[in-house]
Amino acid sequence: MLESTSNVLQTISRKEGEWASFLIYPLLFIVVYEVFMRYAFNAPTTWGFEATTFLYGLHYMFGMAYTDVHDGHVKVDIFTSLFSEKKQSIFKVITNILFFMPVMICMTIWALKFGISSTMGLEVNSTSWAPPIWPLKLLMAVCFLFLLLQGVANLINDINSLRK
Amino acid sequence: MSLEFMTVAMFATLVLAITLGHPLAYTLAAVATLFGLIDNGFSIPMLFDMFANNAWGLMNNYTLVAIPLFILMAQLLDRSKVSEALFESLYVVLGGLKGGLGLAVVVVCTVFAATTGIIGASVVAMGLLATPALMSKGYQKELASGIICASGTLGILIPPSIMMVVFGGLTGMKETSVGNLFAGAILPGMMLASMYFIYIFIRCNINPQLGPPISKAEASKYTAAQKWTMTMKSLVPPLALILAVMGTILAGVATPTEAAGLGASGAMILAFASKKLNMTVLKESAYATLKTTSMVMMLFIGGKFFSTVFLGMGGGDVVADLLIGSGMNKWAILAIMMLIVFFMGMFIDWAAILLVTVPIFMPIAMEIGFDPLWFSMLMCVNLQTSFLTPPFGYALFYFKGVAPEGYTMMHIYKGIMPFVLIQLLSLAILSLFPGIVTWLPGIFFGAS
Amino acid sequence: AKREKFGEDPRHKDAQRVSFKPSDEKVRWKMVMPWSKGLLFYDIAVHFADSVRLASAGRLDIKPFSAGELVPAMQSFDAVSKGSAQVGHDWPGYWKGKNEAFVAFASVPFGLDAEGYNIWLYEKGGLELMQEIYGKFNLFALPGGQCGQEMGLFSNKKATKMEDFKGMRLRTPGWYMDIMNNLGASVSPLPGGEVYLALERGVIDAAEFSSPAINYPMGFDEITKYAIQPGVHQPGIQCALFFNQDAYNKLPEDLKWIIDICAKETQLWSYNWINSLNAKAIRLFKEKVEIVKMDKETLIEFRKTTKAYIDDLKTKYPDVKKVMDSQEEFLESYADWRDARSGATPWPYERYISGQITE
Ligand code: NA
Ligand code: NA
Repeated sequence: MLESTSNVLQTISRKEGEWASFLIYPLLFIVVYEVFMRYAFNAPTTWGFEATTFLYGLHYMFGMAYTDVHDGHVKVDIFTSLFSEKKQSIFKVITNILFFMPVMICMTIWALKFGISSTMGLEVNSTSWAPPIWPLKLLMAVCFLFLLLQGVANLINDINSLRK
Repeated sequence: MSLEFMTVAMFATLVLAITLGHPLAYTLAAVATLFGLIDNGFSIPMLFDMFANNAWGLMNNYTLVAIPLFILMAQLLDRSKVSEALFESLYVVLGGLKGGLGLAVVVVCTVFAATTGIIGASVVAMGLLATPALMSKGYQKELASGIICASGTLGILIPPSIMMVVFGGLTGMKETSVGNLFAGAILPGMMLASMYFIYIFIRCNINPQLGPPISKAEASKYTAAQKWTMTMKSLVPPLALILAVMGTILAGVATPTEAAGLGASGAMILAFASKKLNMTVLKESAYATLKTTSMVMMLFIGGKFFSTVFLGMGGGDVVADLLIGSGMNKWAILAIMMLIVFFMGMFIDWAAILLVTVPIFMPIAMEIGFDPLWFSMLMCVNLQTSFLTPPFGYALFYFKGVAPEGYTMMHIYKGIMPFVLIQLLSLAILSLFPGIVTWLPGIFFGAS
Repeated sequence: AKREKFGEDPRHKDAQRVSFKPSDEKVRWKMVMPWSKGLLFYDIAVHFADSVRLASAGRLDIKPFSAGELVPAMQSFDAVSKGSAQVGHDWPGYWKGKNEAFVAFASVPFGLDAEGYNIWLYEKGGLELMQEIYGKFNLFALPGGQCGQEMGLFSNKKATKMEDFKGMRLRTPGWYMDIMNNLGASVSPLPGGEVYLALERGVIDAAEFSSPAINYPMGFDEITKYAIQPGVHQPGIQCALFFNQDAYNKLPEDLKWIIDICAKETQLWSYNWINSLNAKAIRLFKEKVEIVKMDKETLIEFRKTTKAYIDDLKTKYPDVKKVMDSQEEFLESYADWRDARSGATPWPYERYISGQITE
């Protein structure tokens, strides 16, 4: 039961990351398009800089959980790697509950509040293009939720490996 | 609790917490949360509203858009196998010298350092490419590891470099704009590469056992003219990329972010030209890019939380009072800051160090009258050691991951020492001759 | 009929009998802002914090944090609104995405100048409108610095006539960006840090950033040939101080008064300080660039386009309508006096007798 929950959560992390990873190509396209329009047609866009920035922001935010599921977040494990597997799992469970969970639970809640208050005012960017930014702020909360769920999956896995 | 106590306690807690092996970014955020709550009277809403604000601010930072683009560029470049061609031609061009293959590695890495903004790919690529050649010629394991790790790390100092993108994005000052940092790093980067080159040449001439030349037969397989053509041909792709990236920045045609985009497009064209571009490559490059980007950006988030809480509770002033108020002369203060960065570099990775130290050190450096661009460059050169210094050094791990049987961590640790000393020597030279840093930015951008 | 005294100071009644005791409470506040330390706006924010500290003998200690130290520059508003910091300093136009009307409290193209903002805000209902808009975000606001007129465009193209602006590539933010677009220029909202390089290498032809003293360190004069005057896009740069409403409510009465008076003192000081520096900076600029003036017809044409643009905004945003109507009403009511008094401009003697009698 627990194991299948963690599998589902990890699949979510993997899939949303794989989808989001392709944002890099439209991002690249807009950057190059902007340079091209400026030089070839003397017609810089009014939206290029903002659109680029939005894509960049979403790209890495969706990648947080994805990087975690692939164990890609850098850590200083030179000391703990000296311990037995079992002890390492204990350390992982403790640090997860102590460091990760409280911060990411609060982060998800307050990012959501942040997104909701922007949504209530249908906030747009303070620029001439003035695109709505409330959806981006909501997505920021969603990304923290993905990361939190990935942390739950890690916790389940580490507890399981303790029982073996 | 006194402010001084809190300042020390916050750093001490961080040091202890990171040894527990939890991802650094989360650990930074956790320590920031603990001390943020102590500082603000345990108001969770107040603290996390601030964190949410900061997380959103990072999503809006145009300068940092260059990070995923430079990473994508490196991914595509790595898959188009252009470094192989250059190494093969330098193999015969320089191979005949004592230590010649080592010199070839330095040259290849220097050229590719000017096209790529990150280091992982160079160390891995050179590790796979050059180690077998070095081994078969009987290079000493320590020296071989040192050459590859140190040269592979040049990519983070010779522009373009995401370290400087992070730095520029962090300070947000005109003097330390990404363009200025790139221009400022050109000469220090070239200088360090030359020092590696000279060191290997001298050391192998004193003791040819360390790095013997290739055989006469192998070296004279091609005529001088053939060697010349081979080298020139293999230099075209990287030079084109250097022009696309550094050329457009220095000529002011593109912002660093746009240049990163041009570079990534260039790398894509190269991959296409070498018939390596297909759906799988695009997919794998996208996955790998996201993984590295989010790793850096997650550190950005954790580091931002940490420095925000630290500065918010007045820790920056405590450190400044401690250093400036001590009445020490400014060179002593500089030396202390550099030592702190160096020691942190042994245990933590560069991005976390930058994110924690720059907001504290930069105002101090400016208050005691150091040129901000020059100071930034000292920080970057210094941080370059963090890839190499044991126990925690990225380059060492990357190399170990691809090194052939028989290379132990001890070989690598020992091999890297002389190169770390050379880096420290170059740090001293830059301190004595600031012109090496400030001259080019002055020419290109009229800065400083 | 008998004529009454023509005006009265409404505060006098409160002040006559002080109904509160001096507090001995010590309050420590954090102040955030979109300014980096190199900008003179930072000093204006710090000036307010200093004034409060001095006037309260340290009882209200406001610690200023420059952009990015506590929260990113453009997050100052949210941070104070939610209470992560208690005070913020700003140029209200930055919050146009929250409510379009914020721009009207910052500077309006062809709108209020320094004198206009002072009178409108303090005497003609501007402050109440300002507090109403900020109040929607749990903020209490006060005017917090008036820097006078901005400098026009630094340009590599000499542009004084309408047609000169067609096709010109320039950088300017806010309402003026849309107006210039409507006039046929091609406006790019380059991020601040990119402006210098873009201007130097001809990515853009012209750019504006703030008043002479504030943009002197940026060195635009070293890479451009002309400064196109006047700065019609911002005749008066108005800054604001905003306080988290809950934090403000908790203050003892005497500290509230100290805040009120120190904000006014900051408004006064900033104008004098910046403009004395402006006079010096413009002389230095004149050594490097030619200062050219738009001709009368062009200015009139710009004014018409601006009016059409703002009228359009008014139909879209009720808050903009309310605030701009109030400002326009003030301009109207003030016009007779402005005209009657004109001609006494304190030019140096030689200039005056040569016929330059109005500003
Ligand atoms: Na590089
Ligand atoms: Na290290």
